[in-house]
Amino acid sequence: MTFHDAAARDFPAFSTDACIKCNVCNTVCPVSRVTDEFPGPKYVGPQAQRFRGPGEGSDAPDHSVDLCSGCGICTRACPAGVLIAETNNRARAGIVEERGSSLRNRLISDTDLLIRLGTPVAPLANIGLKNRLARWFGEKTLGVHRRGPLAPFSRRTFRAWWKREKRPTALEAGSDPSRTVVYFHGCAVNGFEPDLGRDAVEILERNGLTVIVPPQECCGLPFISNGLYPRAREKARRNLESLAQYARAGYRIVGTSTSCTHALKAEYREMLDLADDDATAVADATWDICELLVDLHDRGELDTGFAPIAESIPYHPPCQLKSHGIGLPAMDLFALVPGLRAVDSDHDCCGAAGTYGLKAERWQIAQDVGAPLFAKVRAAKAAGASRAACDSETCRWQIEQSSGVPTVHPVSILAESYRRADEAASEPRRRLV
Amino acid sequence: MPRADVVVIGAGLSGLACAAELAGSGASVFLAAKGMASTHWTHGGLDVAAPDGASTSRDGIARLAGSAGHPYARMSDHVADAVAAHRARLDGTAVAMVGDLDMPLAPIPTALGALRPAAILPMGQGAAVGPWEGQGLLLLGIGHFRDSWVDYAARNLTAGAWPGGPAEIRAVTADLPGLDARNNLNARTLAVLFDDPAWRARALAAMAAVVPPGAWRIGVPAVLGLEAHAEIHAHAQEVLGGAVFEMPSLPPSVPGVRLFDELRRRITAAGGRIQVGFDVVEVERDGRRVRAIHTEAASRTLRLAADTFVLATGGIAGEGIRAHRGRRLEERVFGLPVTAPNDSEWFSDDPMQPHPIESLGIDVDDHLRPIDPTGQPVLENVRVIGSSLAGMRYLEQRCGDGVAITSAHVVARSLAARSAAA
Amino acid sequence: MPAGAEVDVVVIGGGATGAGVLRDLAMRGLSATLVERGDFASGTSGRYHGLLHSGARYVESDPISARHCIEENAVLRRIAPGTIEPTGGYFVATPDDPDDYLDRFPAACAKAGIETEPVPLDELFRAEPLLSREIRAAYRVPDAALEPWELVDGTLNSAREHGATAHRYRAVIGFERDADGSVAAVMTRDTRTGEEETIACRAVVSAAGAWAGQIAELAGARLTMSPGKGSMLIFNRRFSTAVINRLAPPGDGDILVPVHTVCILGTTDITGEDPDDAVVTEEEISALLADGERLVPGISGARVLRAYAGSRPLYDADEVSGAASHDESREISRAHHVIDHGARDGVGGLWSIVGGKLTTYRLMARDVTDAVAAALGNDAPCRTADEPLPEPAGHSPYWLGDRLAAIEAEGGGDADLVCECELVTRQRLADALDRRADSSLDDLRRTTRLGMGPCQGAFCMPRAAAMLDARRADGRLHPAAPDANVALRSFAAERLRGTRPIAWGDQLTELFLTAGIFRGTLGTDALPEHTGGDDAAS
Repeated sequence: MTFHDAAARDFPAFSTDACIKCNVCNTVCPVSRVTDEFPGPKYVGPQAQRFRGPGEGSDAPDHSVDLCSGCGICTRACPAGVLIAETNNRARAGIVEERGSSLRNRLISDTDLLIRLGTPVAPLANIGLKNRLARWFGEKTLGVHRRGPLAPFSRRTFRAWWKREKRPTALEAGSDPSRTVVYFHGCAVNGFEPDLGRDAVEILERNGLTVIVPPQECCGLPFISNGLYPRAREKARRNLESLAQYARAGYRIVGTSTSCTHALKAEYREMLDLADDDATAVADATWDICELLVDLHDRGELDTGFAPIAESIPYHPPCQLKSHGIGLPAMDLFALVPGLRAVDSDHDCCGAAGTYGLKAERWQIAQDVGAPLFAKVRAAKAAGASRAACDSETCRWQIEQSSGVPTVHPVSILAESYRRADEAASEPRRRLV
Repeated sequence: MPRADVVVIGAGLSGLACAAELAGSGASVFLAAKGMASTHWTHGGLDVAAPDGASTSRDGIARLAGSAGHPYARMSDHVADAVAAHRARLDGTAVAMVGDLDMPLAPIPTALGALRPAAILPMGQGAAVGPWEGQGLLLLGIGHFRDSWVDYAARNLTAGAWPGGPAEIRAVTADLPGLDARNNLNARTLAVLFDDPAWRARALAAMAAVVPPGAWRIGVPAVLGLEAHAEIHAHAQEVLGGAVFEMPSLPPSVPGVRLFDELRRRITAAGGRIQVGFDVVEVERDGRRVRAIHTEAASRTLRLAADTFVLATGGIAGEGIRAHRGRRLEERVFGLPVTAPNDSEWFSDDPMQPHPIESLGIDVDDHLRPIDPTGQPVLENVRVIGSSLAGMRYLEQRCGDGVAITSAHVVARSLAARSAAA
Repeated sequence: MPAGAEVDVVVIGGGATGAGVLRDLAMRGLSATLVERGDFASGTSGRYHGLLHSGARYVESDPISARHCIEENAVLRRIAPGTIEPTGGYFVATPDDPDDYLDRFPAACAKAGIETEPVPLDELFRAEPLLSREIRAAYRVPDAALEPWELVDGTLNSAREHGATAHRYRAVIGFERDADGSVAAVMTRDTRTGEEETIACRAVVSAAGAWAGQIAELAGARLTMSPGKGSMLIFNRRFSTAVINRLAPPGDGDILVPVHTVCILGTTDITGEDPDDAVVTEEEISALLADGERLVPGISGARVLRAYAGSRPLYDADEVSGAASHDESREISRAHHVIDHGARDGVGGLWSIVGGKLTTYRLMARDVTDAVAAALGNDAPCRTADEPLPEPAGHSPYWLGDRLAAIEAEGGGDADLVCECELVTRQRLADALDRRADSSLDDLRRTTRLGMGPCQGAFCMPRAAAMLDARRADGRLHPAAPDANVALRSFAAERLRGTRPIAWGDQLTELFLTAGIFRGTLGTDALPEHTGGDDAAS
């Protein structure tokens, strides 16, 4: 391994060399905007990094880096290209490695487990989620804030539905890579929002794409965000094992969660050091669903028969989407729907940051970070909007719970527009239920 | 990604101004930038031209235009229009500008207690230019804030000559609520605190309590809020009982953040798109034309095709131009030829004086297209604006902001005219 | 000329050796004072690569030095643990290093008393992942990182505890000699106030290092120094956890030392440069980086913060010992030598201590003090190896995360940081100013690391200057100390001097950002020469 290999392996921390201390990151951080507990990206990032390393006392001399929500806004603002949030994430993993992690963090990161436990008893579990006493108990015993954004369990998982419908879980003979996509549904669709999955499949199929759903697990991002890299690597390896064959064969992997797709595109390599050919193939093959639909549109292949939706909808591009570097594809798609006016929230972060906003000791920070956004969304509702839109699930739940305004994925709005078009043409397609 | 009329690369003052003007004229604009930079580092005023000996900015422009190779040599006719367009963009906002090209360049006090010449300033700094007419200058510092040095500044202002300056110079410091217990205190955290009406009321009361009797203009750290700046500034003048002006100190520059936010809002409100955080990693060319650029992304690059590409990536500070070992200079997006001064020494011994290297940049023709040493355009649909341009020493000549908005205006106007004709 | 103090011994030179001599004299009960023309440890000691030698570097070329090093290495770990980071060290053989040297190395080390241990390559690369995979053999040696400023500071504090005094910014301008030619007094001048003072004494020790020839000449004695310029590069981060040495006869770019937050790649060796004019050339930088590449591939693309040069106090071996002279300064013995100018030049009461290494500073001090004490009839034993230095130098070993952990323990955050890069708090700076009220910003740097990080003072300089100014207004600053504007300007010039030779890449960007902040926003180009009186501030 050369310096460059090592540097590439440990790239986030090496990028801190470029910091010129200019403080741009400190002007954009949403967490240090609302709390004095977090010293800001410059301090915990490139500054602290120079003091980390094997030492007599500890490899991880600091703890305030744990307050970083990982939104990544600092990384994008940095004129010198320092991967600040990524460096922080690795530093947190170092702390976890050295000092261990709480039961709470290990539990809320394990979404596969939660879905496995919660779905079979969904009605009961959902009563629990809504029960103030139960939530109070959860806060006291586990440290999950009683008002932390949690979605109710679906009674049936998306995967169970897929299986029941006998839909494809593997390629059929004669599959065409340009006409078939692999759907990475993520935990949100699987356990909490299966309707979104059905909307996505409807849209993809309407545009001539065959959708297959091979075996897959949680992308591992919650583990990554909580510094639990070994657990995240287990998830990542199993996903890569399942997905790489499709990626190598030229099939696209499409997701409805900008968080999961970003994990597949970037975090597996940047955080988990899974820089092998499988990881690269999967990263290169992964698409956010709106990104894919815009690509279809650019090629003239998107069905643009959208029925009007005369409404002004506040749209919040989530931090994870911005980290994709793909522009704002949902806005491009909204522009194709007659009458629809999507208004960019022009707000940095909703505060949720995956599991951050769930934690008892972080909940208030997350609420304060998102407060101006919630106010904008509420104002939009007062002005007639029936809902808000956002591409990432935990952000949607945070916005919905904190503003009281239903918040949906952009493709749900597109699916609705298509359906209306079908209804208007009085040839309704069978809606996937 | 739908094709844009113009892709602007860089989110400093010139890139933002150019994109705002283009978007306002109806062109489809995509602004792509590696990061935020110059606005957040500088004082937020508009340095148009203040070379040694200039009486007004207009005089300064004429002097600079007379030196061959200076960007003003080919744009001096457009500066007034550019300033007017820039001011019009900002009028009615918290970063509205005061002053004009014909106002005498006035010495204004810096946070360190030196004087620098200025004429056009954001509303919140406007009172710094005087005329003093018997008024005193009160430097009102904020306790525990490490970038507020009013006693030192007052002693420096007293030590130096200030013709026509204030009748008296005093420094006082106010302890604002809760600051002694804070872990983090920079210009931005203070500005955020000022945005909170309840905290602000207590803070301004604490500041008022240290203002001695007398007729003062009051200089305060440039931290009077972000979102609510205009309101806070008015409130401060009322409570403190005198004209109040902000004094920018070390980065982050709160006036610059306000300016960035305002211009960003202008661009998106007019339908332009901004993506910050992704460097240009690939350029598709077709002979002397650029077909598209690609910006880095989490996996595949983002392809941005356009008719025209505006390079607003800055010089060395903005990392538009990188110097490698052995004095090899590289323009990072298109690999354009970089012109550096011939001096064998790049630096002067005195860090407080100009370094010869500061005038490096890209040579351009009258259309601001990059040229090679023979004067031929290197790329026909690329325009170069702002501090990427060669031939100025923007710190010494105090012309960086003027060159930025003028080059942005010249390009935006010619491109807008073209897309209107098309 | 006013008569000044009277002491047994005047020590000339405030580097490690001078400080060590002062301490040793004081601990033996002799009255002593030290004069230094600049700041303490601002000459060769402060322009050091930071290596506590195991001695393995010299096992072949200079076995005496090697033995001295390993002995003193153990002593310093005992008496000054707070100045040492026990990083350990490796000697690594690259493909360019001679086989025969590799073969002889373990035995030579053993002979010198230096413990070595062969390290399997996979273990080496696990511990040091950035090292070149072409390295073919490695030995572990007891090297460590040594903080020279803390060492000199601690040594002087110890000397003061035993009744000695030390004065910085006090240059020697001449000697008074008795009728028999012996020195009777040292004439000094305060380099900042111009005030002159003559110190009567029974003996003088010149520990002026590379400048010892000039001192000898002032006293009418003869000493030809052969200073060797050693240039080094400071990188913005560590590339290794341990000291890395090339397993070869000493050459350019063959040591990499992790010191505090940075690492230092050294060193070139050029004979006969004027020690006051040690400029790092482009050729030296290229040579260092080219050789550094053999240890850490890609190192020449990493961020360099500064280039600097020290002047080795090498003496002309021919003159001192009658040995054959050499062209290459590296081949001149690094071992030290005590010169009795009374016996040799007829200048009684003057001794010079030359040669040696920072690692062996205590031993050098002992040897010259033995000679002086004997001549003065003092037979107290040397105790400098037994008694630890006062805290913090004598405190627990330094580790990289030290400062960050301390700030985090206080709640974290940067509100109280003056220098953000090196985590210098307001309190640390205030303490340093309390101890030395005559400090310039550069003096403060040496004891606090102010301005030594990536921004090279862009953010801390005005903050620290404002602190100086506030203290001056309060009357808490020594009258000889520069005012804040002078301090700011000279510190900025000093920082620029080290940056210029390596002004490319990120560091040039930093320099432009700094220029923008200073001249653009703060207007430092128009800052008054001196800051004003106290009448303005309330």
